Amino acid sequence: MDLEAFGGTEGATRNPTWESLKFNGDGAEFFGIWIVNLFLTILTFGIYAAWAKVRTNQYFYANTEYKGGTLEYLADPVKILIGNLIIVAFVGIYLFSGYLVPAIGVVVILAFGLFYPFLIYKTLRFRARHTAYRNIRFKFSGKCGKAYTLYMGYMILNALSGGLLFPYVAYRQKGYHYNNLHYGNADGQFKGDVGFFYKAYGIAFVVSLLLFIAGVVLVMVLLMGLGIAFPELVENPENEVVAGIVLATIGIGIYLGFLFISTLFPLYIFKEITNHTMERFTLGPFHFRSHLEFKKLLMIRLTNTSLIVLTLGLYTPWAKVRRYKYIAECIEMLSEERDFDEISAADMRGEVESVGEAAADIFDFDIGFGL
Amino acid sequence: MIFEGKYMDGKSAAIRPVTLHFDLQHVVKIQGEGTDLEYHMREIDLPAPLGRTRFIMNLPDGGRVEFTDEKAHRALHRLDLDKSGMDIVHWIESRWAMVIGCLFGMAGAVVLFFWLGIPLMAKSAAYSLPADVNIAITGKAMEILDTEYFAPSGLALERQQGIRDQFRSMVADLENWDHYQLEFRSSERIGANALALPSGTIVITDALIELAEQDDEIFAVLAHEIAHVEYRHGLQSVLQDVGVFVLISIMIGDVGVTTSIVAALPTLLVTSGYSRHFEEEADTYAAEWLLAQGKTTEPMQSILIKLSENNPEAPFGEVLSSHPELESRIKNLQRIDTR
Ligand SMILES: [Zn+2]
Repeated sequence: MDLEAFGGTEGATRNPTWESLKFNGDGAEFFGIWIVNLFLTILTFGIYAAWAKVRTNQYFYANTEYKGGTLEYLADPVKILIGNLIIVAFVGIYLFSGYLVPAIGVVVILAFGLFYPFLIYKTLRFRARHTAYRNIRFKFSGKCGKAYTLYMGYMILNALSGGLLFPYVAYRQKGYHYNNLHYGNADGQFKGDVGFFYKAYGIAFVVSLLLFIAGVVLVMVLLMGLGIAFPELVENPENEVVAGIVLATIGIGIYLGFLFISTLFPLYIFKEITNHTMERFTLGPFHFRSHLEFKKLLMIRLTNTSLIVLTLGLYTPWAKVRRYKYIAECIEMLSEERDFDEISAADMRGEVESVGEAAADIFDFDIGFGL
Repeated sequence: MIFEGKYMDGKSAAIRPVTLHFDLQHVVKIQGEGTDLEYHMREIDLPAPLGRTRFIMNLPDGGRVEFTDEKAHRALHRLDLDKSGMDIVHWIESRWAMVIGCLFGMAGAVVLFFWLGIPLMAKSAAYSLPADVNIAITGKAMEILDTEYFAPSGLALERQQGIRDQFRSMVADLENWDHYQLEFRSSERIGANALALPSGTIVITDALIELAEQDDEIFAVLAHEIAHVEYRHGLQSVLQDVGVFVLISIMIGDVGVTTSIVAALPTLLVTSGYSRHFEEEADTYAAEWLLAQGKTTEPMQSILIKLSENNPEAPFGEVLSSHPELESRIKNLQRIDTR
């Protein structure tokens, strides 16, 4: 089928090879870009944020290499600035009107809810259109109406089902992202397994729940144990300060513990779904696979978070580079050089606005290659 | 000059190795297997470099050349007619001294913004909002205080009325005079103290009235509390908290959701420093009221000193809290006297 259109024009046998993406950036270099971005953004009261975003994305894209070609981020900062301004105006109107007439705040939130699937649709289009590899752009051809079905209709049904529909909705959303993705004239195809989504979300949910219960029991046992071991702590009001310190320590422990548990769920889902999606995704002649490991993702998350807190945020650029590098280099692609000769640029008519892009920044959608 | 590059025509995804030549006539030739192109420099877009990644030439027909030869880039850049501002950005980004300069500049800007920017913005916002917002943020604070801290006052009714009459005359000329209300309470937990709610309700405790040796001390405290209401200090504090929270969230938000929860912590640390300025502002108001009555600031000073001796740890941080602060407040009052 597809393979024939791309492969053996000369009837020769295909000889594609697997190779992983390579990330060439490094933290120290990105630190310079990051600091200058922040500095100029503050100096220009946020106007430079659009350029900062483009520069950051360009840095990560341009350092992502596969078989001699690199990704390119081609968005126009001026468009992103306009998008940012629209968002700021929107939020400003919301905050201001909320003070004067609280009812308007509700109306604005409702209006935003109605707008939300449209923003996702726009974001997907904008991201794809402004990503290129070997000077050929990607394209997203999904329909806006479909976004409303998947991000509003199904979400309402999911709420009515008490969350039981969620893995199915997530599966359909992935399909929307990947089946409508094109690289030049190569079309994306996602043949995922909805059963896999149910398994992944099911395991994540059950394990989180068990850990949560175990945590609650542990805390209760600890508190009762303390009460028995040091009864004077509870009875003697003189010990208020000591008791306060003990309780604060336990409180911080509980907070960190639940913070830890709450990071496990999304990390596990991310790893499972990304590996599965890559496996089941083809882009014209190209096949993918990904071998993300939960333990490594977790280690990166824990060390990154601790170091960021310890360095008052200065570690952030290294953290970003480390995470991105690990994920990118876990992804492999099957291709042969001849395939690229066969890729031709797709028709790119139709303007794409930047409101979606700015919104993606605020809500941090998980789209694109799952990176 | 001759250098190597990769040519991608933008029509197919093939990468073609090419050799590039350019001469003093500003003509760039791109040659390779099946490729033979020629452009003038002014047709070519030379985007600013980024880190140590490849250099780029965007060709007018959608083609693109990537190359890594630094010397060639420098020479081309010198000939490039429309240099973009991003070249300067790259120049800064790739020099450690500049980056560290930016880091300190940014730290300075952030500190300045926390110290001056946010209070100023909170102030102008607090004054531009309708006065009713002050009532909204007060909420049911008085009811909560009554159940948690206060017992009814044991003060004789005539005495209450005397103080209240004076209080009325103090607020009579203010724009929102009808918002003000004076309440008498006794409280074991907070001892001698007074406080003002943003809505205009001012509470004074029996212990404070007993502590005062002259009525002017009581009136000075009342003037101080009126100033808190009049200057909308409560609303300003709320807005400052919001501002600090938003700013820290933006700064940390870059990192991810996990760490943004940590943002609440520094918010508490930073904002506790703001109230000192408000206290001095309220003291100044009280001092000016005393001067307008033809008196000195002595009653305000004496009640502050007595309160600090009587009540070393004030629960609301109201009226006063620590000794170094007391000294600076007394000095402020003395300065007003000698003016
Ligand atoms: Zn005060």
